[in-house]
Amino acid sequence: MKKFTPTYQFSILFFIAFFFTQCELVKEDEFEPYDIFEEENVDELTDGKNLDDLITDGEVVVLPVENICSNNRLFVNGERINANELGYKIKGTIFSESSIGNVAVTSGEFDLIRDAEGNVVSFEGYGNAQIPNAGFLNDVVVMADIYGSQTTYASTSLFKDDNPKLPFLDEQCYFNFNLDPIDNAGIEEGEAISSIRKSFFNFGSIFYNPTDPAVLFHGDVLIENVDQRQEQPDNNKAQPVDSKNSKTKKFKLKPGFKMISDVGVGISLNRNFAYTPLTFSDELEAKVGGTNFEPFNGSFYLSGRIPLGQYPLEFEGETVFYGGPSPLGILDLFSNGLDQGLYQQGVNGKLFFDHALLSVFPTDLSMELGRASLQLNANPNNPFLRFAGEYDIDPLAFFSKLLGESAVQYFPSIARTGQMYVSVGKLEDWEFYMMNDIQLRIAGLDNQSLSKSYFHFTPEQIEIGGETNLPFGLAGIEVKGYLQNDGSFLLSGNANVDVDFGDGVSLNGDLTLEISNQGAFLSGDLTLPGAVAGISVKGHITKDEIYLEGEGNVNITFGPNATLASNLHVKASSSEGIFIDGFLKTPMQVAEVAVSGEISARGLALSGMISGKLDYGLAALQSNLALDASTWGGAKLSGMIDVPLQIIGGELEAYGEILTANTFKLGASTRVTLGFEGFASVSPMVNFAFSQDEIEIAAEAEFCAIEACATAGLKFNPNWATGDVEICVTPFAVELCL
Amino acid sequence: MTAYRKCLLIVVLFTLFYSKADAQGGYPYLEIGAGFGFWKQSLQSEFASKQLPFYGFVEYGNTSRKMQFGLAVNTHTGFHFENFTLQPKFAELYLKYTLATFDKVNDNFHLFGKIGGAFWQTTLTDLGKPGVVSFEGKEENANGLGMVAGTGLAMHAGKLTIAPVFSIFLGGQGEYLAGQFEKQNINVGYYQAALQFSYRLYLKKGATDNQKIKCPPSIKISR
Repeated sequence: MKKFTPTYQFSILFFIAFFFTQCELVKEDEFEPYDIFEEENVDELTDGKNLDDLITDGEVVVLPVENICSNNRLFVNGERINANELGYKIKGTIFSESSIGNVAVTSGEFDLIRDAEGNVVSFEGYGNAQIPNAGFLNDVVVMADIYGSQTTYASTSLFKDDNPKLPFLDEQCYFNFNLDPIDNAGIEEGEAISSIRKSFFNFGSIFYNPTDPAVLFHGDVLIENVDQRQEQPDNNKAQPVDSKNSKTKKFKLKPGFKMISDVGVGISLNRNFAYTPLTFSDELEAKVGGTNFEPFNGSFYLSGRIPLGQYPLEFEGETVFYGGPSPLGILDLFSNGLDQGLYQQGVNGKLFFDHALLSVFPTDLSMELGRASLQLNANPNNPFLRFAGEYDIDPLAFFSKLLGESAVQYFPSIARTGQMYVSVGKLEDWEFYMMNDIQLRIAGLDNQSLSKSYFHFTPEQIEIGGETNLPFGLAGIEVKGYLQNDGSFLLSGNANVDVDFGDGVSLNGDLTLEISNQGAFLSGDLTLPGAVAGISVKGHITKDEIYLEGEGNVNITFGPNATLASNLHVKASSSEGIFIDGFLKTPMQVAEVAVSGEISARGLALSGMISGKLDYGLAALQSNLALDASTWGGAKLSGMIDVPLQIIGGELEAYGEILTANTFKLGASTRVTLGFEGFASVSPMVNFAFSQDEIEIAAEAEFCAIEACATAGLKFNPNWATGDVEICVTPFAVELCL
Repeated sequence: MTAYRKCLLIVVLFTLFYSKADAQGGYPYLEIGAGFGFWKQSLQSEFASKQLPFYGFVEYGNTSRKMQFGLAVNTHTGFHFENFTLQPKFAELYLKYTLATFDKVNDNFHLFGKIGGAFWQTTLTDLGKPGVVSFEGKEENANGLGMVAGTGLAMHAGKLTIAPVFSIFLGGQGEYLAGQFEKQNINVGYYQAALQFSYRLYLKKGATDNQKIKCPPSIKISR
């Protein structure tokens, strides 16, 4: 028997193994892959049939996205959608109905997620961001190649929740394509992935409204230098070429292009981008009677944020444009800019304090410095240009961001705010307003306006104003006025001071001057600390009169019954005259002076009184003198002085009057008393008087001893009016005259 | 039990049996080598050859035995169909057996066959579109057990051996979506013609070159 050698054993093993597997050796023609990014031809899908019929037949399936957005119907090939436990899976091309027919929107893999009630609430996936070759987009936008993107379909309200700056109208449906990171696309300097005529774009995000259709790009714009305006625009599309650093095609730019980063560009066949002017302070709205911007919808949108060279500033702006009735259509915008046709344009801009170097800090230090809106309406029926702007520059706000509010709460700062408004319509309709304000801001206290000025021009009037203040409201000067087109004007000024020293002691003052075509008007008052003194003044100059009135008061209290008080009141009126009235009272009633005067139509008058009293306890010196003079009543003088002596007492009395220039009478007398311990005394008296007619000189003395008194006198009285001279002697109760 | 698992079981049983029944004595050695394929054909008819394979192996044997045990890794194989590439990798554990020598003509030649089990992993790559970055090169993987069989003609030159080898790699079906909703089966196996080089390292001193290249006495053809 032949030995069963290992060779035979191995051979048997080989064939046994082969026997088990031979039936599965070759598999033929059963593998059918599908390229989900290959765009399906919508014409081949529909084959000229009605879409509703295709839906009924199941060849086409409408996506159940009514709960997401219901502006238009989205549909897919019935073989390219599959229901699963989460909702629906789509692998292939999504089509949309639009104003220009059925268009392919994107191709890729997408998920429609349902909620517990079975409603589709989310539409996300990954697809290509190829702009449809449909309608005007086919003429405007050229993508160099196919680019993949994370894709979302939703209503504009959802997108605006994430980014309120988006210019979309409400209740619109948009696809959002977030392109794969641009670095992965291998873009080199001078390369771009899409073009609109002479402008080239590298975008990171695209919004696409298949209904309108409309597109909105976000990314960088590269503009080739255009030497001059093209009278005959080049209608040839730019052609992408192979890129040496990546597998995708790119547009190659000529040297010397200019790049603007972080811009948004939107193009809409209809008017699907909203212009919403910025909001401004209530103060500005009230001052100009409402900024009156008119929101409108446009077909072109442009936004961007541009750093301003070497300054740490960035300008962020957006514009919405509608119209462009150029004979070349909207495409001409990308070759020749805005034409001189009918159009509407709205611009919003903001200026930010920002710089790349600030990005090293772990917080957002970007700070808005100012904002402005501009609207231009070139419609001949209602043309207008309106501009409004406000700025608020407060360094403290920046430091608060940098160091925190608690760290800078005691930092003082000087802030600047301003407002500007311009409205130009037809010839008789224009308005211009500007305001600047410098404020001292101290934490814990109200903002202190140091200087504020404004002017406001309208066809009806010119209004100006200015205000300068010291901190803490210590003092301020305010000037304002207007000039109206009927010739009336008003210019008023006010100066005030208000210094509080505490404990009720303050210095207050207020002065107001107003000049108008009615005249000039003045009023004011000043109060010294502790109410020590007060001055008030008022007056006016009008066509009827000049009037000025003032009053000053001094009131100083040294203690009980010891007050120095004075008052002076002056009134000058061109119709009434000049009047003066005042008094002075010294403490302890030592002296009291009163004076009043008048210069009026009836003449001149001046009257005064002075009285005094010095009380020494055992004796008192009293005086009382009065003068009363007027052109109509003459002059009168009267008064007395009481000498306060115990042994030698006396008084001096003066009197007189001047009735006319030729009629007067003056006199004076004095009396002295000498006492000798109660048993004898002598009282001599002298009297002197003269008038226009005579002189009288008289002397008299009274002698008393024990209880008996005797009087002796002498009188000299020449009268040149009568020619008589009288001389009398009175020796002890008997008068003898010559 | 699949056919491949049955095959692998047979190989293991046979190895255990042979390891006891083989002759004694001789010089043990390791054969270290590598090879590259110059032709291949996928067992899935749609796929065409794209890139040539490369493999490395280590074999253990004894000069007194006709059986060797081998471990090999076959990689860099590629096939393509439309936008997809199929790249199978096989890790093999095999028996190599000297089927015949040709001492009358030239004792430096011998014919061998090999059979073994394998663990395979195959990647189906969607090449996608150039700009569709996140989806470009999206891969689907499948793996399983299979078997390998082959035959070759070895030519010895001292410690070096050169051998053209024809092999068949059987892996059964891999399951891939490839853009569809349901997974599809793809036969991951293929035929391969390769040229391999190896170097023999003796693990025991005393072996002469003459002994080293001669077949064991037990399989010499008697006159």
